[in-house]
Amino acid sequence: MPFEHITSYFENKGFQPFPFQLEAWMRTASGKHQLIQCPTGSGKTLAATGALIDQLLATPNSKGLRLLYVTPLRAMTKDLELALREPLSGTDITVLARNGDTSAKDRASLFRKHPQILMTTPESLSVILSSPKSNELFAQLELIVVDEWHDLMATKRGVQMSLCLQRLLKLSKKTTITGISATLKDPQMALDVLLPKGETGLLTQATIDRVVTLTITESNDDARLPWAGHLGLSLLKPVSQALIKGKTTLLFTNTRNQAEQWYQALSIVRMDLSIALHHGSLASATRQEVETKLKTGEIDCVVATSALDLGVDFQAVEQIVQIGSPRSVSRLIQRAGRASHRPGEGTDVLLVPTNRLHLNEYAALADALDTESLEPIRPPEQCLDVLIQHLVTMALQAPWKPDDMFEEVTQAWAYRHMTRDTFRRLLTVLTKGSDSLKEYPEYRKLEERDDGRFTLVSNQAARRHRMSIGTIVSHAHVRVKMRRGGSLGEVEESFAGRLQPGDVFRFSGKRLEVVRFSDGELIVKPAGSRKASEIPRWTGGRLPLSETLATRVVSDFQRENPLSQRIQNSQWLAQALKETAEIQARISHCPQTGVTIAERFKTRDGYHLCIYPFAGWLVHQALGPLMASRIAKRTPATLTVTVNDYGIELLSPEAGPLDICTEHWSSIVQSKELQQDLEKALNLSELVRRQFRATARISGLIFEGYPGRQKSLRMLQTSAGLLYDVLSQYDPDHVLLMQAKNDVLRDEFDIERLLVVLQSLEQQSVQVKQIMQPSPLALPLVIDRLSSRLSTETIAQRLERMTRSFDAAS
Amino acid sequence: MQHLEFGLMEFNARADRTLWHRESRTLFLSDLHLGKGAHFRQAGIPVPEASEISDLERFVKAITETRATSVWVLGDLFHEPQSITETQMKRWQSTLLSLGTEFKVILGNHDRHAEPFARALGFSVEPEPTRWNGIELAHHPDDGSAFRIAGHIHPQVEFKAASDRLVCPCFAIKDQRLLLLPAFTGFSGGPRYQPRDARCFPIVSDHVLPPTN
Repeated sequence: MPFEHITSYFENKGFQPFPFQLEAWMRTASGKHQLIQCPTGSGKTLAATGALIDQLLATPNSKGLRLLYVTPLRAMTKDLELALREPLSGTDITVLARNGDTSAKDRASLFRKHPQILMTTPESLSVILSSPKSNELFAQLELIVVDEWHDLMATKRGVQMSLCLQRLLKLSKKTTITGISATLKDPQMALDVLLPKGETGLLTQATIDRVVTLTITESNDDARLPWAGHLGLSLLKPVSQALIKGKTTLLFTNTRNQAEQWYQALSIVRMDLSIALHHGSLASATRQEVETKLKTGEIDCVVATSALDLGVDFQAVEQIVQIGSPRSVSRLIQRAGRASHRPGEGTDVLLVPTNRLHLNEYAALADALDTESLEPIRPPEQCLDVLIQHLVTMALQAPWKPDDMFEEVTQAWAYRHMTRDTFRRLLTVLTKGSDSLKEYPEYRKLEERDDGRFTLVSNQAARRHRMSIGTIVSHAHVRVKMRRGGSLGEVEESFAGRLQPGDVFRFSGKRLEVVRFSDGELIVKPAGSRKASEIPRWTGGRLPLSETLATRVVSDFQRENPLSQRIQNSQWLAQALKETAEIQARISHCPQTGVTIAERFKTRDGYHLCIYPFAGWLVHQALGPLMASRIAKRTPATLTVTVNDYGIELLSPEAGPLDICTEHWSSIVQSKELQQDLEKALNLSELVRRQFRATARISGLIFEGYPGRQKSLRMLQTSAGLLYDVLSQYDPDHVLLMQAKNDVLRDEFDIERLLVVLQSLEQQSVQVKQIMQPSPLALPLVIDRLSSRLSTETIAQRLERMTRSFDAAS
Repeated sequence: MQHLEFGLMEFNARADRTLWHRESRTLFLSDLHLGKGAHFRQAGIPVPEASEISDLERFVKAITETRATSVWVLGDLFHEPQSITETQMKRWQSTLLSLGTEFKVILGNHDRHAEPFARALGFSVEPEPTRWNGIELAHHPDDGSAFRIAGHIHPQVEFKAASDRLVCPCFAIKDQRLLLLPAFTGFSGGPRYQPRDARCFPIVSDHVLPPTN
């Protein structure tokens, strides 16, 4: 009987393997590559590894590394190690987890005594591959499992992973690759990106259908839902009532600030519950403690950000709450999946709107779930910084010949179109410093040996490279430390830079007073109670609304189809949506498909033109300044641009420039000359300068922030910004500057989609309506602009006044 | 050039990042960091050589333009003396020794074991601080009470508008008694003062702007 051993493990536990698991095992056993699409917590790990575990159990005395399991989450390697040890207990088969936290001693032991199963992260894999001994280690490898591929493939980490895969396939002749991913829009593409050029694989689909239903928190009659707002604390009461002692709830927010505020508020109203806070800025020890308690169910409620989106299942979680909008269909599915499941049972997500337009997003979300319209993933391509790092890593393993190396790396999807010329330019950068004719005397990194192979110049350089392997570059962060005592976590540098000594802010669930900001550390002490005012917010990862949802929101204004069945209180929602559309129609006009709507009104601040392409915040962020600069090209104008997920506001002291915009619409939104106009419109150099930090770090140009920094390195410290300035002044065509610029256009503005949006705007006419006061759609834009200029009290007052006028009109 | 009064003396703050005292024909500058780019390149960090050439050219130009008789370098003449090569020394010697100017240096934190190199370039090494017309010359700033001209800090000033930002090197006077010189080298960063933090004289391309407060 095939898979006898693993099947009996299942039987002993009282389970039956799912059909998709059997299918996956069969495919592994017959040496096929595959991508398993499967929600978290439905046995994906055993689906991917079962066949190999069965084989190991059948031949318990076999030696050598057979299975490599790569996961993007460092914390998960430990959990997986325990999970895979279970079916292997009682045998001599060894499972080893290796990640950035592994001690030097354990690291060395990997090469001395090869485990049969190795769990690691892409970065640690890259470090392992930098060792000359790794060819022995991987010689007998049979199966590589890449977990959370949907997450990895969207980032440069995925690119690094796929470069490592090419090397692994070279080191071991009979390896197959299995990817695991959440449900994807285009699984075939995900498989193509995973596999080397020319290889084919199969899609293995888990048909475990989990019905996600949505319940929307209704506001009481005495507290109307505001027209704009991000916090949502007006619904604190119904949300706090939904929390039940002993029934673990995960409450997701979109920003860290939101998490802090909700944590604080819930802790006060529900003192009977044990509530914890979890977000990416907190110290890792604090986070791990919360995660452990979540697993054991010792906690009633965790207020979390997307830092908890991925990872192993928390069996104890029974309820999911989402504050605001999840902003994308995939994220909602991901978050809903964090709750435990019994077969055949669905998950209900409690949605808590923080403003009325969220209701439209919820309706759109439900529609998208019905039609399984997930957001597409666009994997990065031709990342030269990642390739530079990888080329050096490979030179550490064994000196390489350029022709062999070119063959190897162009097997990876991201580099499948790379030309020999580009590769040659990279080689010149690595050996001479630049591919331009500029002088870089004394430059040393890689050198060509007499036999035509490339190798590293010194052991010191090798050591330095090993220490800086990796592609995750967080945005500039500043450590928050108590004056007496330990570290609390990290906040964005831009936020820390705005604080003055004596300022009070909320972090890690505490009220803190700034003592000083020095040497990259924000020193704080507990704030006394007499200090009342707090610095209101720091950004903490703003999530843009996905294009899938943004475009669907339009149809909510003229909804003809009934609302999705998965909305539990759809009648209430239908009524609320109708009201919103009616008010929007009364004050202005409603969005419709096929036309771009716009509104004009005049306030004390000046003349406003609000345009609603519904293309999402990333695109609007580029589109707004682009339009403004094209207007300014025709007439002198001082325009203030504000954008959100639905639209763009242009504010002008005179009416003239806004007339130009609507009169010359097709040339203001033309898709021609996009890139050159965009460079003029945006302060691109400042943005590229910021992005260059990541590029410089990945390609090994700067060394920073690793523990126990050697003294000799201090003279080598410089900021990426400075390096950027010098390069752009004296060698502006440097390959890595180009890379940083492309990254900015792609990641910060989504230039590919911007082009598509412009093409459709060109085709559509614009319908402008003169209105007397800001409409429900315009209001969030007006508020966002004000919040960057005025103090919070004033906004609150203004907001209240404007909202009152709506309600009076309704 | 911008008129700058400090320690009862009159100076000119120059856009080439030097401080000029006309009466005594003395030029002050600090943080030259000779050999910094080369040190980085040796470690595999591509810093174009043009940046150092430009530093050296500006140094020569400042001296020939002012016809200074005496030049003070207030520390960090070199970046990392241990990695200086013979070729570099020769290039610097041929540039500096022919200028016929009196060179004085106060060694900075980067100038460890740098005395022989400084002397070979024609510099006399002076103690920190050295008194000069009632003003202390030093590399490091201090909390004392005497007037002091110092380097080390590499001050910059940052101007912010809504979404835009400009950072430029500056001369900065703190507490009316400490004059911080900008780093002479173009390849260096430094702390960013807000215009109100100090009396900053921003250097914007070819100009030194009037003080910020």
